[in-house]
Amino acid sequence: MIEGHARILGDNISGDYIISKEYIRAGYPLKKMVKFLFQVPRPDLGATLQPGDIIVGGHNFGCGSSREFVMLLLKEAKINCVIAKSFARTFYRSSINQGILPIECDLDVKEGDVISVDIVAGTIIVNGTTKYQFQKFPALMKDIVTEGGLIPYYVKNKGL
Amino acid sequence: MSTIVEKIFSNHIGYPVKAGELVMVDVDASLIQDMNGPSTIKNFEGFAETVCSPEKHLFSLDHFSPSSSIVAANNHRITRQFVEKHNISHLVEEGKGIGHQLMIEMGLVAPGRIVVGTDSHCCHYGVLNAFSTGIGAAEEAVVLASDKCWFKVPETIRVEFIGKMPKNLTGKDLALVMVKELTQGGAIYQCLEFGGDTIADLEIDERAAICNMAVESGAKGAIMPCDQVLKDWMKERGWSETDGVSPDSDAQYARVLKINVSALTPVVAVPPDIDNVVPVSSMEKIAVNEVVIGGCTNGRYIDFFQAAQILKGKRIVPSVRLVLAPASTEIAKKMLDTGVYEILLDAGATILPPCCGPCSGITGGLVADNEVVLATANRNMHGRMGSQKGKIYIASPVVAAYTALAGYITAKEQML
Repeated sequence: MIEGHARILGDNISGDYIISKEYIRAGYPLKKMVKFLFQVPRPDLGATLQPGDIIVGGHNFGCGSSREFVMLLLKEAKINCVIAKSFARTFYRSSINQGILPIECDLDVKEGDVISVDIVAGTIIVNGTTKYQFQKFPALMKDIVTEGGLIPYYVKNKGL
Repeated sequence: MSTIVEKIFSNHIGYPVKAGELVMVDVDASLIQDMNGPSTIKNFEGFAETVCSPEKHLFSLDHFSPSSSIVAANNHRITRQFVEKHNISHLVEEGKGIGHQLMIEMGLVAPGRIVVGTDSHCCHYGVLNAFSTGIGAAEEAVVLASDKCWFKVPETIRVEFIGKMPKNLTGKDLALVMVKELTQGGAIYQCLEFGGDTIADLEIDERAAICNMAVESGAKGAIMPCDQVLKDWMKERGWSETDGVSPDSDAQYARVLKINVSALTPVVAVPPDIDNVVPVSSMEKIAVNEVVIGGCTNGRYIDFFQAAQILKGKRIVPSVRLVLAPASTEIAKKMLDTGVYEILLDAGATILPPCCGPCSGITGGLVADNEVVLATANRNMHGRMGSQKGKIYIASPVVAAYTALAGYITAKEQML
């Protein structure tokens, strides 16, 4: 079970909007970059992110340049789960491969609502009341996330 | 009753598969560029010792090229050391070209292949009737170690371009109109498969722009037919003959999108959305500070040739910087051989060494606060090509050339 507060974003949040190229160009260390997360679409968000917060996006989350690097940044910010109406596929894959849960679900939530995710049952409960279902992960993907990402999975299973 | 992508996956695993099935395949080639290269290497060195097939991979030092900072220079050094240690067959040095173009020129892509890489624009290679797509750094590390990658066989959207290409319309316009029709994210998880009678009139260079931009609609891959144009292109380069992969006549598509090109006029994607595509003729007068032609999307010979046709014997306006980034040394040499390079220099262009240029927003002519750029690039969100306060309009090399002459966005010659 994963539980956290909803932090809301809109549609088409691109890799460039998750972290602006400005900070990649400058070669900032991850720790220093966290406060600039989502600066273009929501300037207030990066500095107020709390460990365990759940990012809730709209359609096509992670589109454009989807760099695996942004997963490391989200991990640095202790974000373990992103819920969106739909994901760009590179973000979706990289998210699984780095052990961050990408869940496709159309939630009706407000900033700060408490979200509880049950990955085994495929359910999400908002503020302890409203219940949503999402499509459960195929076995391979669930196993990769459970192992903490693709490489730990590869090492444990001595291959793919 | 299979689509091209279903056939490509079926051929690789040895039994027929359909859209929706999860499969594990050995990939035929991969690209590792310098934005994700260092993390790919770090991931690899954390668990593996040997690269399974060193001849399959290409490392390219193209985004931070020529070295744009000490950090970039050091990352490039790490990449060179890795390439040398593991006997990787292909390295694109700084200023020698863009990985996507070199994947094509060096023969790593061919009809029917499955190719991956650490860049969202890897869908580009579908121009040679292959399936290709972008992956992350951890996944690429596993590809280096094992050749293996898992996929969900994608559904296909059939995109048919119909009718004769009007004058001044380019492959880039078709790409933009297609993204507008599909919308951003309108093709996520799906593969595009191209057809229609217009395709035969498009050179490989122009088709590449369409495949390249497929990812702006979220598409996983983008596959052109293996027709006579492609066969002739391969023959010219001395490649072995192949019939490539064609869809069955009763293949099942998630959607068929038909685009009649004969009535289209040059278009522009208005920032910050790549699917906000409008005819240039409908726009108010928008002054620009910089015009960029180049990159993996439109940095091929035909793009500079089209621009040179318009700029020959003329000078761009003093208020505009015209920045060009050819996609490879081969292209730059052809520009020199045919006089295109000189025409563009004489018109006032700054020609970068072959590299990604300002398109990736890292080096080579970044945009300042409140500036406007008209680029043949692929993305126009805030901050993509420099300052977050800059504005990026995306259009064809033809529109770019006319705009550089006029100082504002236009698709025709202005009487000054």
